[in-house]
Amino acid sequence: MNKKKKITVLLILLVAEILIGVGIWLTNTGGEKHETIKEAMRDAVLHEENHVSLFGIAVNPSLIAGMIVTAVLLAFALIVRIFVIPRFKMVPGKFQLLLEEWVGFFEGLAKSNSPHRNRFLGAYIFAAGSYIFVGTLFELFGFQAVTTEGYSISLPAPLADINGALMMGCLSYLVILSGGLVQNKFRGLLLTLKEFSLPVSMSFRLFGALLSGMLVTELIYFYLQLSFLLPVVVGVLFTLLHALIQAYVLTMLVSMFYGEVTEPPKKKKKKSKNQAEEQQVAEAA
Amino acid sequence: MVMTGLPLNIDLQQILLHLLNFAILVAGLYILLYKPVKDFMEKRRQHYKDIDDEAEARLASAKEQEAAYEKKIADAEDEIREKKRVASDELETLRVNAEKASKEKAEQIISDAKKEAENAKAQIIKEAEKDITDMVKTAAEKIFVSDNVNDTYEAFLKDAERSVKDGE
Repeated sequence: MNKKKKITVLLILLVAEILIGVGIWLTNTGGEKHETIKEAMRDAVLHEENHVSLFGIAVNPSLIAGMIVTAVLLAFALIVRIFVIPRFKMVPGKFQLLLEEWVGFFEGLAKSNSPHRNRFLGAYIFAAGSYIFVGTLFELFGFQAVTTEGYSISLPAPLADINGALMMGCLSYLVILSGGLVQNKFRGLLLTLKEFSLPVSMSFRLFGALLSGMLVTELIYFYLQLSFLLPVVVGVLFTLLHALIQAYVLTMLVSMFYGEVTEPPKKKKKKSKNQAEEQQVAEAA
Repeated sequence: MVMTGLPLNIDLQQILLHLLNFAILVAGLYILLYKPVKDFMEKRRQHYKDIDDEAEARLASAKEQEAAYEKKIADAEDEIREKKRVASDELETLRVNAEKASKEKAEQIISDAKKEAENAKAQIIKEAEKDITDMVKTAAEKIFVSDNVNDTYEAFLKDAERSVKDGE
C-alpha cells in the first residue's frame, strides 16, 4: 500500500468516526435503563432483582449462562468426536495439535502434581478448566436473556454467581476428599479435613475474581462515554487474562491438594541397634 | 426480591442445579473429548515406543553381529598368525636340514676328492717307481750291452734325471 492510499484510508476512517460520534451525540437520550449503576452493581453481587425463568423456577442469569456454556462445550466436543477425532493423524495438524495440547496440558498437570493417582483428577480438571475459561470468555459475547420482570439483561459469566462459585469450590474439595479417602483411607480423609478452609477459599477466590471483572465491565458499559476504546483493554484483554489465570489457578490448586492427600505415607526405616548406638556416640561427641 | 435466609443470597437449589450442569459437562467432556484424545495420544506414544524398541532391538542385534564378526576376524587373525608361525618353523627346520645336508655333502665331496687325490698320488708314485725300475733295468742292460761305460753311465744319469723331471 503506497502513501496516497494510506492517507485515503485514514481519512475515510476519520470521517466515519466523526459521523458515528455525531450520530451518538444526536441520539444520546441516556438510554432506557431500568436501574441505576448502584442497583446494577448490587444486583451483580447479590442477584436480588434480575432472575430468569428456568422451567418455571426463577434462577440467577449465571445458571442460564452456565447451561449455555455446557451446551456449547458439549456440542463442540460432539462435533470433534464425530468429525475430527476419527481423522486424527500420527503427525498432527494445527487443530489436532490444539486439541492435544488442551488435553495434554491438564493431563500433564494432573500427572505432575499427583503422580500416584491422577486418572479421575485429569478428567475433572480438564472439565473444570475448560468450564472456567470458556465461561469467563462467555461474558464477552453479551448474550441477552429476558428477566422474569420482562427486562433484557446481558448474561454474565457462570462463576460470577456465588452459587456457581460455591458449587465449583465445594465440588473440588469433595473431589480432593474422595481421592484421599480412596487412596489413603482414613489418613487421606484427615489430610483433606485439615484443609477445611479450602472450599471457602477456592469458592470466594473464583467468585471475587470473576465478579470483579464483571463489575468493571458493567461499570464501563453503563456509561456511554466510557464505551469507546476502553472496553478493548478492560473488557477483552482483562477478561482473557483472568479467564486464563482463574482456570489455571483452580486446576493447579485442585491437582496440588489432590496430589498431597493421595501421596502414600512414607515408611520410616527402623534403625538397627548398631546404627542407634553410633548415632548416640555421634550426638555425645 | 428473593431472600433465602443465607448470606449473599446463597441458594442451595441453584447450587445443585449448577452441580448437575457441571456433572453433565464433566461426564460429556470425558466421554466425547478427553478420553478419545488421550487414548489417541497414548496409542501414538505406544506406536513410537514400539518403533523405538524395535530400532533398539535391531541396534542390539547389529551390535551383537558386529561383535561376532569382530571375534571371527580376531580368531582368523590368530589362526593366520599361528599358521604363519608353524610355516616359519617348518621353513626354518627345512633350511637347517638343507644346510646340514649340504655341509655333509660338501664334506663327503672333499673327503672323496682327498681319497681320490691320494689314490692318484699313490698310483703316480707307483707308476714312477715302475718307470724308474724299468729305466734302471734298461740302463743296466744298456751298460752291460755297451762298451763305453762312461757314455752309458752318462746316458744313464741323463735318463734318470729326465725320468725324475717327468715324474714330478
